[in-house]
Amino acid sequence: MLTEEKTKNIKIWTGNDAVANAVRLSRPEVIAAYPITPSTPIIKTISNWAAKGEMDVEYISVESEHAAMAGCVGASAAGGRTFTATASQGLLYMMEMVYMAGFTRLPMTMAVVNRSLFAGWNIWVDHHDMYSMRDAGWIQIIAKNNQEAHDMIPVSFKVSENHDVYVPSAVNIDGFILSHVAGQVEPLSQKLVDDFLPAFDPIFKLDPADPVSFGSLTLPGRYAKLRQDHLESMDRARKHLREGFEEMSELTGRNWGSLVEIYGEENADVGIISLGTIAEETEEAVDILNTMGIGSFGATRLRSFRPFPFEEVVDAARRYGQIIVIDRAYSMGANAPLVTEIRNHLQKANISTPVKSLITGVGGQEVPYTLLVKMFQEVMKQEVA
Amino acid sequence: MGTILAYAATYDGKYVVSIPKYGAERRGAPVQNSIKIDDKPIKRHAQIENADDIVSLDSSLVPRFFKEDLFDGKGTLTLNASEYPSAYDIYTPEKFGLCNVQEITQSEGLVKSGSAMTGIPMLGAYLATSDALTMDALHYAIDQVFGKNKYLEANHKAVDRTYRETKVRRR
Repeated sequence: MLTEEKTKNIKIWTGNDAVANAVRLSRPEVIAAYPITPSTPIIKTISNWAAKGEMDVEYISVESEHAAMAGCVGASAAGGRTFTATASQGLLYMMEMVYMAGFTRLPMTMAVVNRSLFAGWNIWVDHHDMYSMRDAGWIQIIAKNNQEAHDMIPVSFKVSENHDVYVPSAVNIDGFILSHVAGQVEPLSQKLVDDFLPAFDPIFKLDPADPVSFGSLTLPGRYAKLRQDHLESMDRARKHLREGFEEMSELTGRNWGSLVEIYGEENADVGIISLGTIAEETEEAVDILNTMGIGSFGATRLRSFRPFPFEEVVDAARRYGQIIVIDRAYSMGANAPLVTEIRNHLQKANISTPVKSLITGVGGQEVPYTLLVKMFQEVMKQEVA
Repeated sequence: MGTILAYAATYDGKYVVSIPKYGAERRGAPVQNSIKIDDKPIKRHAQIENADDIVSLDSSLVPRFFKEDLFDGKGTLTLNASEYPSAYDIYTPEKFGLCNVQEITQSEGLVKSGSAMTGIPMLGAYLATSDALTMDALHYAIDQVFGKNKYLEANHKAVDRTYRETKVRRR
């Protein structure tokens, strides 16, 4: 049961409400955005606040997602705290600019409301869109519920703008399952966010009084150095994300304390690794499987996909007898993205824990815990070379 | 309706999520919403397959979508109807609630663009049938959602009436 104090504070918010409210508390200076289902309510809410003067932000209405991210690139380069939201085809349409933001090292936060890709025409959740930007040089955080979506937005701004990191950051929420489902959220206070999130202090910015240039002609040696610097910054981002999650945990009393969340038996015979809402559904399945007398089960949810939580995945592989990885997307002609990354890293770390693949929940396919219980038992039978 | 029930459940100290079913929505088409209420945090994100309680604003719909008995002597079924429809003979809930919510809604002036807004008044009938949440919680929830809206008082009055006027039949 909820305590009386919590009961008074709780708002019933969709995931989109939770994101929009956290963005307002984070005091962005520029938002350039274009609507696409299921992310539209985020920017609709924010544009209403901006229109009514309830939010002090430069809101730029644009003609496409490509223009939205171009606007964000300009705003961040000019030294403004910057936000946008998109989904699915919208993310693909802005992808040239997504890479530009990433490779130009422009801090900003984008909410990606995960949705399948055409064709067929489908508005529901999967992770093809999220995986499409994995190499764009952005931090990628994935929330499991509306509260986490709310709390991660200020963390995203903070780590993105940290001079030791200085890359853009995306907060992913599952389309409809979070974006349109109304759940209980304890709102962050303005004071908490103001204390947590310092003003953006750009390292470089476009300023007529002190001209600089972003992205000018770069010869091969320097270009390689830029990418290497970027890689090292993303490696440092792990530490800063951990610190950001820990600080947010201390301030709120909610446990966001690491790049991964471990559930159930830590040294289980079978450990399930996944992202987003399906990880919570997995916890329910784990509880049932642990009563069936077919071995012990546990789960590890990745809160961060970029930077990839290498140490935590190795730790999971050392703890579990075998691993099942859930992907909510395909990589045609190859193995699914998350399971591939995990196998790759475990091979590099010389760990031989069997890693099995389960692809499910694409295009909004319902995956209740009861179905997961059956699927995990089937996947356990997979032969691993 | 989902948001109101979620606020009401919160007031009563419960954990809750409200899951609308999205598709090609249009006015007049059947819509569905799942509400999960529990004493512990809710981690199940999928739509409800086997509900404990069913509340229907349109008594023609339940037999179209639920061909078999879901209840097995448990749970509740609350209908916006003044008569017990024979198509419901297959269902065996523990309690069956009947209320002409349509008429109460219209008489309280909860009409917009010619349509009676039966959703919130229906919840008074539901709580009369199920005891799942308290009426204090429902009134709190209406205040939370409607605030200074012109329909605030009419909704408060309507749920009190539907709560009082619901006929509850035990199996």
